[in-house]
Amino acid sequence: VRAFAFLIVIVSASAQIEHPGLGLMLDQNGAARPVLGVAGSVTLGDAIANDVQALACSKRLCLLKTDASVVSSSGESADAPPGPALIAPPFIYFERTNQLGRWTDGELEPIDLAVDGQILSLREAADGTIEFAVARQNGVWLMDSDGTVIDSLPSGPVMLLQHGVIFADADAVILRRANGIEVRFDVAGAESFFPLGEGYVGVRAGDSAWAIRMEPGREQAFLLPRAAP
Amino acid sequence: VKVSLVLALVLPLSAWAQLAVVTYDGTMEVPAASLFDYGKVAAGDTKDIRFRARNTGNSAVVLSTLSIAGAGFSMINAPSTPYTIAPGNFVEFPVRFFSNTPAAYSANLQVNSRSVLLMATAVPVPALTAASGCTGPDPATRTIDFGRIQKGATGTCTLALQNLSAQSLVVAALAVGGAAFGPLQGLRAPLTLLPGERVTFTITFAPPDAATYSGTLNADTRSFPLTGAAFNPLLPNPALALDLATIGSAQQRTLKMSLPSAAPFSASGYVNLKFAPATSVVTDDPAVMFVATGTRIVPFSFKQGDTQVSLNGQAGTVFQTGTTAGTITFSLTPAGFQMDGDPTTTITIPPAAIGIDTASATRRANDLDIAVIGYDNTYTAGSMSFTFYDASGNAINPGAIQADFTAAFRSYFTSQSGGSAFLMRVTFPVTGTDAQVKQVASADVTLTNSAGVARTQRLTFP
Repeated sequence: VRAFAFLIVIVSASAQIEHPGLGLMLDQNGAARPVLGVAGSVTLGDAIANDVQALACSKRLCLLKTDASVVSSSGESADAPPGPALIAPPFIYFERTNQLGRWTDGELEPIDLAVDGQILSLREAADGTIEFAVARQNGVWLMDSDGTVIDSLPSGPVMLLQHGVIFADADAVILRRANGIEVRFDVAGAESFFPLGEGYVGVRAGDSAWAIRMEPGREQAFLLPRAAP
Repeated sequence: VKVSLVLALVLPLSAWAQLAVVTYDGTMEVPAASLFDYGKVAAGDTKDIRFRARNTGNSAVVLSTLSIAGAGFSMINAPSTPYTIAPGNFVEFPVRFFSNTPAAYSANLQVNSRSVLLMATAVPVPALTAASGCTGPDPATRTIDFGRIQKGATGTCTLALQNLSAQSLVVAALAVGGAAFGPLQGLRAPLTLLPGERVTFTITFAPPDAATYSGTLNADTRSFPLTGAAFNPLLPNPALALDLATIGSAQQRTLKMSLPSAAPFSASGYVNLKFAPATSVVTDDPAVMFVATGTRIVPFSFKQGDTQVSLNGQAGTVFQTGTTAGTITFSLTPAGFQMDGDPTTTITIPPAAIGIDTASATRRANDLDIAVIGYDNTYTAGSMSFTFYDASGNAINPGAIQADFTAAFRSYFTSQSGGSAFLMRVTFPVTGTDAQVKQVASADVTLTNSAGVARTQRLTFP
């Protein structure tokens, strides 16, 4: 045992204990609920918002989209086009009107969009710009905000991650990390993905919702419970 | 003058003519003639006829006289008079006939100026009793109950007719009606019963489906409701099964339900889940549930011929074991059928060392932070040790640092009802230069509960 010149003061060491959570999800009724617990043993908390069409969180910000507004975790709200949206804070894409916005200082600022095709997912790139997964007749592509193709992506449901991409074929959900390593999860019939929380992605497959744990070495797929009636 | 005289004669007559006496059978009204015959009524029985006084005119009529005179007849809930009947409206006054003595009876029903002669004949009837295979007749309703039998089976009710009077009785008609009831065997009407004579006959009950059935036995003037119910045959005792992996906390497992032989019928019901914690610290764990419903109940169904039972429309249903040691019990609530045994199944979630979901270490200017997400299914967590290492992997003095957060954990467990999952953040204030603090490169955490010891992986301070 090696002694150092400094002292670790354990006498005052304190423990704060609280209920852990995985993130937020929309239940079958469109209510945003916290997902509480640990992997494989979760419950849904009380609804924090109803009639929500989309929501996503980054480390700094959560945004949720109702039919006609965007609400931030800091309490501000702004009018928004109706219909569903894709959110990758601070960016939000309004699917019905094909409009892109950026949440800045509690306001929604429109951004010019120069991407042709059906936008399936978006993410904030490391340099703060935005990247899209776009479906075109000739495939699904990873594109930057100028519409420049960066890479190809598998067809089908897809979601861009901070360090990779997650997609699905008929039998499985596949996590492709930035280094190219792929992890398969036995989740058949995936129809769409949704952001769940840090280290987790949600998958909708029929009436079921799954959580995909992406932590390297702890990868796991488990079901998310339905909200009790 | 001639016209006025005619009107004076006609007006009173037309006013009386507005009140019609009718009978009502629950469906339609029939004008009552000056004589109304109740027909033959079994002595000791009652027969009610619903009479009405209806105002068929276009002005109100006052019912001032409503009476009945004669033995055996009585009015039930007659309105008090005078009673004003609006145009088109009516007032109802059922009239009952009852007599224990066989004879002919008559009475006068007076409705204002309208008289109706009521007639009835009380006739002796044989007594009907159940000998075997059924019960009744019920004293109030006369219902003969065939009870519950398995669908597809045949029940036989033996009934007896006995002439309790001092004279011969003729039973002119004896018949059974109603699905699943009959035939009537052992007697054929008409028949004559001598004084004191007793004869028996049988009625079968053969229900084709699991349901409740009703019918009627008519014996001359008397009608006896028949009732019976059928249930499905016993279902071969279902088996509730999990996969073979070792059961533990924080798992999602699939429950399946099967039958040892083909289902003899189609049916449905519910699988119920109950949880009993092994600890007294908490009374429940809400994470123990079926995920497909978010509750502790899930529907099941099967079709005739199936051996695999569908759970919530799937071959199996997933449930969570939660984060509390205890017992999970599955039981069935069948909908309208019975089982050949009790399929209730209990599994035990054993106490285990603390499960570590995630652990991390972070550094601040004068603090070292360690966070552990996990669960303690024994609810006895608190005893821990922390060992810090330098970049070379050498443990830093004083070595393993013991800490006891038992009180903090107990306070947490008792202040919430979400199971034993926890996020613990432990902060170690440190002193020294920035360079010195940065020499702390990693840490191990050991967490102890009543079931054992759990260790984190080596946590690296970024």
